[in-house]
Amino acid sequence: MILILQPLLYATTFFWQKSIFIAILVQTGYMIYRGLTLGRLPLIGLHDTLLFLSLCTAVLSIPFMGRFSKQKGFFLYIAFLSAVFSSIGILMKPSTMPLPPVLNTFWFEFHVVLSFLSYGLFGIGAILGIIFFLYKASSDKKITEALQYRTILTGYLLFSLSMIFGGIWAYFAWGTYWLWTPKELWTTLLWLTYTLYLHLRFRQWWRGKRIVLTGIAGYVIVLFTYLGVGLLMKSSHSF
Amino acid sequence: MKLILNIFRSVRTTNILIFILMGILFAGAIVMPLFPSYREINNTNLFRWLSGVPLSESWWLYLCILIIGLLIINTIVCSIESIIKKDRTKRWPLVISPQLIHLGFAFIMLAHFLSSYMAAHGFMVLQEGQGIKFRNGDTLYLERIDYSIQKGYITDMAVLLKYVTSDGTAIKLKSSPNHPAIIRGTGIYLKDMDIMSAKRVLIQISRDPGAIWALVGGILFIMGTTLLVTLKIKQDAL
Repeated sequence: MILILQPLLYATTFFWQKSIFIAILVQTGYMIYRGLTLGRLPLIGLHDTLLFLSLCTAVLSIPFMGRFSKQKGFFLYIAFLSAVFSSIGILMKPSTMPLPPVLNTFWFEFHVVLSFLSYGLFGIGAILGIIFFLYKASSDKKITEALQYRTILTGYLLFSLSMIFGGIWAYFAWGTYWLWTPKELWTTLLWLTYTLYLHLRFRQWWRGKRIVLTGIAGYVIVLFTYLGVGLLMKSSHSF
Repeated sequence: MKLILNIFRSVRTTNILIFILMGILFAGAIVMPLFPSYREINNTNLFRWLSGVPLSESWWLYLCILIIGLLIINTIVCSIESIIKKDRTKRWPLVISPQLIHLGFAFIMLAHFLSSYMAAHGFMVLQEGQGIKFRNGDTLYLERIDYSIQKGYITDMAVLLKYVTSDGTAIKLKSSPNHPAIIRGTGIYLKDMDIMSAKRVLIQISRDPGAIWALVGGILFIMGTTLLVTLKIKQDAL
């Protein structure tokens, strides 16, 4: 019941904006419950990680809500993303297996938590990109573009930190900080996409709609790196 | 000479190189699962692996090394120019933060070069009481295997080892997942355990001289990025 409630509450945001806070509370409660039941952070497998991504996207959007209180589109897109992630998440089988010894380290926990926090911020960056195109006034567009830049820059910091923690974990677990697998290549590709975004912004020609579109395109790579690579390619990661 | 310098001090060059590198990695991610030779790529260092694989399978890695090399030159030239140009500015943290990031990136790439050239990995399956002799005359013995099981899954495991040097000195070691035994700069990793047939473990011996430089690079990169995020958020207060 509590599972179905999560996407439903996010979907209710389409009619009543404040239900996003109830959705956040319910989802947080569920994650805590799962964590206590399993005796570990519930971040293994698609069920847990999709719900966590849904939660990260919603929670990290809270600081933006004041600025976009009159722009209903922002709430709707955030709620849409969180509803989609939690809908797919509840369809996936929850992992109940005990933690494999190799995952029993705080390097792994930091690595995963920071990854999903950065994915959440990259998602908000993409939504800000869509909002950019909804605005008519150039002043609103300029502010939205600057907000997208700050959001993506913060996401980039967290993502870089996540990669470094992943490297430290890999060194302790497998004797090397880097493995040549498609997942690692896609993760580097994702990191390069946002590195490119940050460098492109130095050039005046790229400012405005071009850079905003790059921010949106980056999120497509985020989704493929997270879901596509794990499902389609053999990798050291299960998600 | 001036033309080459102009090319390398341009952010446009950075953007083009990053874009090309993205394309190469994309190609690499498609190529990797196609050839069985890639199953061995993580079992040795990159340059040794490359020497035994035909160019038709490894071309994208050579391109990758070339573009990263150009990107490092571009990074260094841009950083030097940026420091010279912005020398008189009072906001030194804003000047220094991108350079810290670039320096971190350069260290991480240096680490990859060292690892690709000098890293060594070896694997062995051992049972209790068995040992393996190294080329330097030292011997590693597996004394005991410990594990615990929950719901049919191994939830914890460890091995007790004895490392005997060529002069007869014995050193007791313990290795478990995420807690390798480190001796003389070499890590002894417990990779896997089989308790179904014979009680045996898969041990990995690894030496990766690039790891410490990657860590240094990572710390510099994060310091620079954190400083930049803080400054940008303050500067662009909306």
